[in-house]
Formats: sequence, C-alpha cells, structure tokens
Amino acid sequence: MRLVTTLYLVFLIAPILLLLMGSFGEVWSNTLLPQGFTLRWYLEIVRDPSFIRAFVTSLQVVAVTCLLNFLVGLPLAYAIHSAAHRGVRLAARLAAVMPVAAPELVLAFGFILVFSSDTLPWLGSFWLLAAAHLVLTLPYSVTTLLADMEQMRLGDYENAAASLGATFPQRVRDVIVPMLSSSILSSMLVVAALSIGEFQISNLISGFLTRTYPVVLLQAFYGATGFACAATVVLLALATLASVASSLAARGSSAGRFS
Amino acid sequence: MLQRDNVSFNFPNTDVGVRNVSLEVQPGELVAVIGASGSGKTTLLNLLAGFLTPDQGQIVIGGKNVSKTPPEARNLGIVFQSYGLFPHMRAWENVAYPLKVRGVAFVDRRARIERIGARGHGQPCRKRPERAVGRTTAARGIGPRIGV
Repeated sequence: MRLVTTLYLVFLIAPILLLLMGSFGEVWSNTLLPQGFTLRWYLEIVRDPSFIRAFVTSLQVVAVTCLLNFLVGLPLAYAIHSAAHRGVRLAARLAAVMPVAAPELVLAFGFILVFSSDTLPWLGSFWLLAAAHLVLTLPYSVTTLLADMEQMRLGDYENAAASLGATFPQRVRDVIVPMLSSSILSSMLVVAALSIGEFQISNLISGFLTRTYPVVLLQAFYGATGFACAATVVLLALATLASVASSLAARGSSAGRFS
Repeated sequence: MLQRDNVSFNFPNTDVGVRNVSLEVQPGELVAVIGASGSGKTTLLNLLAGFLTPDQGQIVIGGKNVSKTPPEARNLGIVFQSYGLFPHMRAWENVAYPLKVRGVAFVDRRARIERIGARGHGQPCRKRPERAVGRTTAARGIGPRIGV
C-alpha cells in the first residue's frame, strides 16, 4: 500500500520537479535531465514585455472575476438558499452549475458567435474576457457558498436577527456577510486559482492586447526549453498560492463555526 | 394583548400546517402550548413571529393587525430552541444587538449592558459553555422589551 502511494506521489510530483529543474537548467536537449545552472530564463521572462503585459492582464482578470463573483455569486446563492419552493431551488441549482457540464469549447464558440456580430462587437475586449471567466467560475463559488449556508443554517440566524428588529439590509451587513466571510474568502480564492490557469476560453476570445498569461505561455513552448519551464513555473506558483490560501481559509471557516 | 382569529396556514403544495386556530392571550398571562411532535406548535410560533404569513385569519398584537407585518417590525422577544446566537459576535454584543439595529451608539450599548450586570460577557459566543449560551439567548430574547 505504501509503495502504491509513493509511486502515485512520484507520478504526481515528477512533472513539477522536472519543470523546476528545467527552469534553472542551462541546456536541456537530448539528455534525461537539464545541465548547468542559470537564472537566465527567469530574467528573460521579466524582460519580456509580452509576458509582463499578459501577467498584469491575468491579475486584472482574476481581480475583476473575483469581484464579479462576489457581486453576482453571493446574491445568487442567497436567492437559491432562501427560495421557498423545493423545485425552484433544484432548478436554480442546476442552472447555476450548467457551465461545468458544458465543454469550454462550446461556451467559447457561443461567445464568438454572439460577440463578433456588428451589434455586439466586443470580442477581444477585456470585459468580455472577465465575463467569460465569471461564467466559468460562478458554479464553483455558488456551490461553495450554498453548501456553507445550508451547513451553518443561515436561515435560523437570519430569523433570529429579524426577530430582534434587524431589517434586511441590516441582516446582510451584520449577519449574512460576517457569518459567510470565511466561506466568501475561500470561494474567491478557488475562483482565483481557476481563473489564473484558465486557457481554453481565454485563448479563443481574448484580443492581442488582452491575452492572459496561459495564452502567452503557449508561445513560450516554441522557444527555448528553459524559458518555457520558467514561464510555466511562474503560473504554477501563482495557482498554487491561490489554492493553498483557499484551503487555509476553508479550514478557518470550518474551525470558526459555531457548534 | 395578543389575539389570533381563525388563523390557517398550509406549507406550499401540502396539506400540512395549522387550521382555524383561535387564541387570545392577556398581558401578563403565561401560556404553554403543548402537543405531540409535528402537531404544529412551531408553525404556530413562526406565524406569531412573522416568519410565516397566514393564508387566512388575522394576528392582532396590542390591538394592531400584524398579519402582514414583517418579523423585524413586530417587536417580539423570541428565545430560539437552537439558540441562534451569532457566533461572530461577543456574548454582550448578542444581547445588545436589538439596540444596534435601533441605532444606539456602540458606547451607549456597552454602558447599558454593564448597567444590567451582564459584565464579563466579552467572550466570543463560540467559545462559551452551553449553560452560558442558554442564559445569553434568554437575555437577548427579552432584551428589546425590557429596553436594555
């Protein structure tokens, strides 16, 4: 059993280790492992304007996607949670997770069809890219928030607040948002991790100046191996950071729960 | 005085609920509602609190028909079975929450709570032992009416 686990871990970690080694290796051709040590590839990334622009664009898209998820996802999850009718709840939940079921390619073609017309010529714009990322990530934030709302029985606390005289805006400010704060944080970080690594839709609908980091990363594979490795490690580090922060936030949210 | 005339309520798409309940409670009167599990005690209280709206009949509190009044405007004190204490607030903040929503400033809230002897309730609720939680819940329930 231990052997299987070890093999599995090696299988998972080996590509990442090779990428790391490759990013610091001077030459890597026709050998099993790269040779020499250099920081040259990382310096080249920092000096490459298209990579820097893509990096900044990616961070902007992530920030806007998180904000939109908060503004749209929280009310949506709340509406589903408080819908009185069980059928309505189920239908809304299915509709909310639909983008996960549809292949990204299909979604991208939909965007291309609709937004390349003369009436809605937004293909290639930053905001359309952010909107696409919202569509892709919304199911994850809504599902996370909804699960936490049900688990903590948010409705009971809301009733308690209402009976004490709190109006709806006061309940949102004093009960709903503070009680869900860890849940909001952890779902936003999941959204960030997904949005940073998103390639398919971004590749198809972003314009030349709004290309995100993964889209530009693809270009790197046509150049030096070391450069491609270093560029991938940067993306990996960003996505890992978001995932680790997200799981820490999720742990904080379950530890802080009232029992 | 509290009055309910012929109140009925059915949960949507079911025939479950309470039917034709009439009840009158005088000021100072203590009333216990006893019944088997599922007989509608909680539904009755939820209608009274305003968490549910009656399909027919009316609920009158102090001479005013509150059947359509939302819970926050009914001015009732409710002690919840599941406590319903806000885990992100300290115990005294829970007790003083009705004052907060009525616009009483932070310092005044704190001063009033200390005056009624609820001192030492500075701990977050999630760390409090069950017994104290019950006490805090009860204090919060009566808070708005005794004008803490």
